[in-house]
Amino acid sequence: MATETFNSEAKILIRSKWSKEIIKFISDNLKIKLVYLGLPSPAAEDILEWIDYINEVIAFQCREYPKPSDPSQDREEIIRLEQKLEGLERQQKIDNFQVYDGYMEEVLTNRKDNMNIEFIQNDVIHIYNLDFCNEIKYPREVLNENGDIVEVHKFDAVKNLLEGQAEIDSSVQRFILFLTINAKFKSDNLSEYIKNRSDQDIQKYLKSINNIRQLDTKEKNIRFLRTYVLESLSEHFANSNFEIDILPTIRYEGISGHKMLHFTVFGTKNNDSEVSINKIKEFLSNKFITIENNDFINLSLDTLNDENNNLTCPVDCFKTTNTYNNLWK
Amino acid sequence: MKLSKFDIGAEIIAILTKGMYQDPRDALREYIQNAVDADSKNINLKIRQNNITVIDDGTGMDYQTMRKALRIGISDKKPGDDIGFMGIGIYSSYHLCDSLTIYSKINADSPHKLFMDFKAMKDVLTEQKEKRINNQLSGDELIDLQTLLEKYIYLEELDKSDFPTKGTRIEMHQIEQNFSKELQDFDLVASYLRDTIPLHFDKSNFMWGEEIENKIQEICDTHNSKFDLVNLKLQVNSRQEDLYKPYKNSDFHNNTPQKPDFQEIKDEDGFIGVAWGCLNPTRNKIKDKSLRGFLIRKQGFAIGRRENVVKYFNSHTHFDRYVGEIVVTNKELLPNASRDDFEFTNIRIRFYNILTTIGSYYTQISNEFQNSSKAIEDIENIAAKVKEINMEFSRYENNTTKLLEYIVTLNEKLRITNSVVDRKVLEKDLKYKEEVKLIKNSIEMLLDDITDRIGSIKKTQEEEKKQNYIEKKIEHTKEIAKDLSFANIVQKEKEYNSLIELLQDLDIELGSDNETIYNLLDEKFIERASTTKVHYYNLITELKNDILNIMDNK
Repeated sequence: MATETFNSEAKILIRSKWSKEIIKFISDNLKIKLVYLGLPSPAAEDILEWIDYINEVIAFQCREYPKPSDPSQDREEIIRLEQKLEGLERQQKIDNFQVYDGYMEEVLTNRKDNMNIEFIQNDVIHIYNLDFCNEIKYPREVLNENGDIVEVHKFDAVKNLLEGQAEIDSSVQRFILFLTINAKFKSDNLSEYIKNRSDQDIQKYLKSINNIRQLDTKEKNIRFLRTYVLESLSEHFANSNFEIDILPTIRYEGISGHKMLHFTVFGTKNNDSEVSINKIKEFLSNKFITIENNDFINLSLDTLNDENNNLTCPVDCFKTTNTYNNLWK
Repeated sequence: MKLSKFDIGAEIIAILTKGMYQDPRDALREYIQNAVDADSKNINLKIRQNNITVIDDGTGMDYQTMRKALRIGISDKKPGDDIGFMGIGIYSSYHLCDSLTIYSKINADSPHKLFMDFKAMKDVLTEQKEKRINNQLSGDELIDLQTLLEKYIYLEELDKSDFPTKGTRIEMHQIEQNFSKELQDFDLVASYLRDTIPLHFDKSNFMWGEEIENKIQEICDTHNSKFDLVNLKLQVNSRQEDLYKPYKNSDFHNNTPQKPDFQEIKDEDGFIGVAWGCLNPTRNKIKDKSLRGFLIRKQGFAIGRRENVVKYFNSHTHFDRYVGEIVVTNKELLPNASRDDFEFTNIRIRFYNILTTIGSYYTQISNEFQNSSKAIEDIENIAAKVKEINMEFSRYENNTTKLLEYIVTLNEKLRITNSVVDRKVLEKDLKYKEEVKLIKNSIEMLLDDITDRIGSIKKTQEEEKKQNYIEKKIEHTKEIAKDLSFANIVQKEKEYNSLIELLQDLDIELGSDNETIYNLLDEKFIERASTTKVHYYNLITELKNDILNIMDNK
C-alpha cells in the first residue's frame, strides 16, 4: 500500500526556501556535509531537496502508515526508500544511509527495528527532520521487548534522540531540529494543561490567551500547543546540555486542509544550558509565520499587540540570537 | 559428435554455485576478491537490512569485460596474477539473493549496468522441477542454460551521472532470510573476511605491522613478485569498522611480541614467497588459540588452517608460541577449488619441501629462545640466591648445619651455572654472558669462605674435644682410684668439707667475724657452684692451689 503524499504546496515551500536555507547555513558554518536523521517519505523528497548539503542519511520508515507495525505487512515502502537512497549513494550524492524498519518511536524504545536491526547512534546528527503529520499528544502503542504494549509519545522519542546525541564525544555539536505536527490540541487536555503549569509566568500567559474573547478556540489552541511544544523542547534540550533557540513557528495548511505547525529549533552543545523561562517567553512572544502567495509573512492578529515583529528569513532570525553570537560565530 | 546449447541445462547454474559457495559469506569473499584483482585500494562492504553492497575503486569494467564476466568456466583472468579465475564467481550470490546488479566504470568511459534477476531464474527452475515431478514436462522441454541467462540478464550503458567514478559497485538485493544469522552478525562476517582478504595490519594495535608489510614488500620487489593489500571497511547496519589482519600486541604475553623473523621461501628454481613469525616473549602458547602458529596465505587468501602447517615444525609446542604467516606470491602456485590446499603441481612439492626447512628454522629459533630464556631465568634466580646467602653468612657463624646447607645449595647453583656456560646458550647475549661469569666467581668465592669457616670451627672443636678427653680421662682415673680405694697408688688430695677447714689447714688466721664471712662465701658461692660433693672437693682443692700459688709468689 503506497503512503499518501503529504506534500502540500506550503510544505514544499518550507522545505525548499525555509529549511534549505538553514541547512546550507549550518553546512557552511561547520564546513562539512551533514548527517540527516528523519522520517522521509519513500520518495525522500526532503533529502532530495537538501542533497547538496547531506552526506549521510538515517531514516525511519514504517510499513503501513498509520497502522501498528506487524511482521506480516508488506515492506514495499521500505524497499522504495532504500532504492531511492541507494540510487543517491550510487550517484555519489551521499556516502551512506541506514533505513530502520518501523516507526521512530518504537525503534527508539526497543533500540532495534522490526527486522531486529540494532539502532546505534554513532555520529553527531546535524539535521533532525521529524515530520510527524499527526498530533503531538497522540501516543503510539509499541510492543516492547517484554511483549507488553506501551504508549510512547513523540517527545519521548525526541528526548531519546537528544540523549543519544549528548553521549557522542564531540566538542562541537550544532544542529537543527525541524518538528512538524498537526495543529490540533484537544480541548479536554487544555484545562488540565493550564492547571498543571508550575511556572507563574507561563500560566499567566496561557490564562491571558484564554481570556481574549476575540480569539477563537482554534487560535487559542494553536497558542497552547505552541507553548506546550516550546516548553517541552526547552526542557529536553537543557537536560541534554543543549542550548535551545527556536525560530518563529510556521503555520500552514497541509493536505486535506489539515492545519499544521512547523517548528525550527537550533541546538548547540553547551554544558551550562538550563531551562530559561525568559527565553520561553521570548519564543512565545514571536509572531507566527504563515504562507501567502508562495512567500513567508508574519501573521498579524489585531487582538494580540504584544507580539514581536519578526523577520521571515530564518538565518537572519537565528543570527540575532545570543547563541549564534556567543557560540556559533 | 556435435553438441548444442540444449545439452547444457539451466539447472547447472544452481548445482555449480551451491557446491562451490556453501557459506553465504563465500559470495562476499568472491566479489571482494574480484575487487582486489581489479587493483582496488579501498573496498567498502555494506550489509544493510537485507541488501548487500560491495564498492571498490579498482579499474572497473567496460561493456565487453562485463559481457565476458557472464561466461561460465571461461575467464580472461590470469591464474596466478588473480585469485578469482574460475569463471563462475559472478554467480556466487545466486542462492543468496533475489537479484544482483553490477555498476562499473572504467576511466573516461560511460558506466554500465549488469542486472541479473536470480529470483526469476529460480522461479523458472522451481516451476519446471515441479512439472517434472508431476510428469508434466519431458527432459527435452527443460530450459537450457543459455536461454535462461539471456532471458534474465540485462546489460546496458548508463549516463555518467548514474555512476560517476571509476570502479565497481555490486548490489545484492533481498537476501534470503535463512542467511541473515551469518550476514547480520558483524563479528562473524569480519572474522571470515580477516581470513580471506589481503588486509593491512592494524598498525595502532600491532607494533610490528608496518615493519612486516614493508619487509615483505621489499623482498617481493627484489623478486619481482606481486604483493598487494587493500583497505576494507565493513558496515553491518549501523556498525562500521575498518578491518585489519587480526593480530594485536595483546595476543602476546606482556603485550610485547618479539621482533618478527623473516624467511624467504625459495630454492634454486625460484622464489615462492615470504614467511614471517613473531615469537611470544615468554615460553608460553599464544593466548588466542585461533592465532597460534603459521597460516598459509595466497595473496591474502587463507589456504587451509593453521593446524595444517604444524607438521612442518616438528614441534607443536614451538609452533604454538608463534603468530605468523607463510605468504605465497608465486604465480604458479595456485589454490585448489576448495582453497584448503594448492593444486597438485611440481611447485607444490617444492613449496612443501622448503616449508619443512622453514619450519625447522622457526622451531630452532624458538628452541634457542627457550634455552636462553630458561638460562636467563635460572641465572637470575641463582644471582638472587647467592645474594641472599651472602647477606646471611657471617664469618663468626658457628652453626655448621647451616653452613653445610649453604654449601649444598651453592654447589647446586654452581652446577647449573656451569651447565649454562658449557651449553653456550647465552653466547649471543653479551650482558648475560658476562653476568654468568660474575655469578660463577661469586659462588666460588662464597664457597671458599664458608669452607674456611667450617674448617676453623672444626679445628676449635677438635682442640676442645682433646682437652675434654684429657680432663675426662683424669677424672675417670680419679673415680676409679676412689672407688677401688687405691689411696696408696694415687696420692689422694685432702678433701675439705668447708672453706674454713681449708683456711685453717693452710694456717691462715681467722678472726671470729671473718669466720662468719668465710662461711657465708662458702655457702653462697662455692657450694652453690658445685653440682656434686666431688665437684665441691675439686673446687676447694683448686682454691687451695691458687692460694698456695699466691703464697709461694710472696
